Amino acid sequence: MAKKERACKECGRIYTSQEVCVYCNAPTSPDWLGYVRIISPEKSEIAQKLGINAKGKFALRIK
Amino acid sequence: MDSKIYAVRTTIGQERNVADMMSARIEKEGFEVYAVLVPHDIRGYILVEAKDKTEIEKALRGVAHNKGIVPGEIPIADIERFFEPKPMVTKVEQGDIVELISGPFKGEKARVVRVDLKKEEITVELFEATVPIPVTVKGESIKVIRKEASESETGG
Ligand SMILES: [Zn+2]
Repeated sequence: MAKKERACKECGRIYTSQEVCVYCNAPTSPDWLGYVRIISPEKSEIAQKLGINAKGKFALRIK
Repeated sequence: MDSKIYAVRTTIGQERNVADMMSARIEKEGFEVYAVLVPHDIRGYILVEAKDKTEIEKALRGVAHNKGIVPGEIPIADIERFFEPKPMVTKVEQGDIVELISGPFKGEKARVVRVDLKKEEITVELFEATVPIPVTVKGESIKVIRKEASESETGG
């Protein structure tokens, strides 16, 4: 299964194909690793450690 | 933070699907599960943060490829390596001074002689070695101490 999704180089948000992040206006990259679903950013220590304060799908590492 | 982290076993290759299916259930049913993490380098496991284990059990009910919760709670310190920004090889250049942060040469300082972007590998020459033997390491096992042509060297 080929991974075609792209991750924002600034915030890590994952997009199906979008080339520019709608939040940061930064370019996205198809080359990323690790995946996190943040469901309750305000209650999640993982989100806090990652500096994520929004719900959504994020990559842990973007190249 | 008042949350707990557990590992959930999954069918290998289905980590992401389990994470997504769980997340859909959590959002629909309002379970107290806060985050689901799929590490890229651990096959067959995902990490789930929730109010408690029961909430994770509820979220997993009926989710295909889920093989159950691993009994022990995982301290956040044990998974912190996933949160540390790793030096990208793309940000490392020939001539940079780096410190090796893992492997047999941990703690040694070295100069970058080559960067292989494709393999994410960096070849360095150790300062302490009597003969400067090139050592090739993975991008994540170094940290840059000083950029080449940078004035910002610390100490004195
Ligand atoms: Zn972004």
